[in-house]
Amino acid sequence: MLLVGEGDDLEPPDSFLKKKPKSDVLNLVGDYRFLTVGYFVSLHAEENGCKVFPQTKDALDIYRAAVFIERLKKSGIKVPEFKIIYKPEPETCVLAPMNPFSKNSVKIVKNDYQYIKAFKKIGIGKYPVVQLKADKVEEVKIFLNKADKTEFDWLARAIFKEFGVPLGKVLIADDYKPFYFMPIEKKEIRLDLIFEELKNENRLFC
Amino acid sequence: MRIGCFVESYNFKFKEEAEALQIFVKTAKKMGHELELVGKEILRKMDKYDSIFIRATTDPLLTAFVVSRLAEEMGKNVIDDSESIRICSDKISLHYKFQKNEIPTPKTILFFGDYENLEDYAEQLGYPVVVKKPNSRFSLYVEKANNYEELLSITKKFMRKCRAVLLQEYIPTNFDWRIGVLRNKLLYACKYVMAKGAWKIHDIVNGRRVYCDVKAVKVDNLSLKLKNVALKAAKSVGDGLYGIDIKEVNGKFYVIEVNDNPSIGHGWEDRKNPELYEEILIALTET
Ligand SMILES: Nc1ncnc2c1ncn2[C@@H]1O[C@H](COP(=O)(O)OP(=O)(O)O)[C@@H](O)[C@H]1O
Ligand SMILES: [Mg+2]
Repeated sequence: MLLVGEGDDLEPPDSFLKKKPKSDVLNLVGDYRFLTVGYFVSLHAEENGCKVFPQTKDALDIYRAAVFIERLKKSGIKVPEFKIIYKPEPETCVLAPMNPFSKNSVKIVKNDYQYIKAFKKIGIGKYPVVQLKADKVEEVKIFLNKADKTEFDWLARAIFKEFGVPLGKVLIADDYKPFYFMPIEKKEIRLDLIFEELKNENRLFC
Repeated sequence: MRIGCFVESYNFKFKEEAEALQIFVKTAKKMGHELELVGKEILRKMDKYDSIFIRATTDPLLTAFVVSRLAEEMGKNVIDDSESIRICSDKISLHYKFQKNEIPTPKTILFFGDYENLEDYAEQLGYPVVVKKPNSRFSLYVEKANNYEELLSITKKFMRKCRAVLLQEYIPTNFDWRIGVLRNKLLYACKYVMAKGAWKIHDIVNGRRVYCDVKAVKVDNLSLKLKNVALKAAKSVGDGLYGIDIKEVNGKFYVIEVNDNPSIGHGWEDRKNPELYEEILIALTET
């Protein structure tokens, strides 16, 4: 298994992209969004016939809130009820972007004024938005099958199993219900946790 | 069957495209189906439809991709399927597919930012070098560099927001073939004839935006060689609905790209093969 990413003992993306890989690839770049380096690493592996985590199609799905929630639900994970909104339907709720542009991020809104403002900002005036009920939102970082908060290891495992995505941040609504996935920053990546888990490689990648 | 056709306001900008959409509606009715033109609200009422036809711009970053994916998750027949969208929206992906399937293309080099090699790449291709951003469409991010200085500046500009570009040998022609393919069968054909002074089908000449002329050609009249190149290129992506851009020079064919979601305008693409509406509706309603 070839590990690609930034850091000691990892193959840097730039040199990886120039080679013809032959082995399985674990892509540890941390951001796999369309047309980013992380995306191209997975694409390069895939198109050279290598098994790779994550695959490009999963890398596209995971960052699109509605698709992320639907797939988790299908795989048996409890997720919040949500609506896809294209016209404002103000209420106390959480709004999440469905387009991956700009610096829009998830917002908890408490009144109509906040709602309208957040709706416009998150949808950039033209994209649908995901709307759900939640009193609080918690962030969890995942590293392969482990989470930074151990009570969420099950979620890291579920996400790796369903999407093959080893790194990222998950937003969780009340009652342990995940609804949104984001890339993790380089400095937040815990390679030590990853290396420890890789000792059990056989169980991880079957 | 009920078909939901996802459209956005710009689909009605050209009367030819708006008319084509109406022909889809009418033809569906004649065939005993119902095709409804729907905006973003389609995401809320996907249940209503048996299949989904996307006419709005497809790109993994746009709403159309979510429409395609959610429809697929619900087990519906979808054109365009999400894999076709993913591959065709990224010229790097397309390039890998072309290479693997031995599709004839202009000489192409993927550039991932190794500037120390850039001059060498240009020499291999010869000037002018065509530079493309992976997600270009409507010729928006396709430019020509006449020398190293221009190449450097275009490449840097494109790479500000993206980690890869495509460098390509320049193959000038007066027109691009545009061959429509559906489910591995030829659907329609035309020539997209460049405007005077233009080298791309959408170009800017003397500060003015110019479009190509569309000259339809009956599919039956295409050369066997061209037909085969188009079919092979389509197949390297999938079995959906595609428009293949091909250049012809002295009887040799070079595939420029495979487009998912190809434009269909009444009096343009449909002129010599008007049965294309019915063919697409058959593909959408077959089980
Ligand atoms: N290698 C090339 N040589 C000459 N002209 C080209 C070349 N590649 C593209 N073009 C012209 O530029 C246009 C846009 O290129 P294309 O690769 O199709 O990008 P887009 O997806 O933006 O349409 C083409 O329709 C063609 O007319
Ligand atoms: Mg094109």
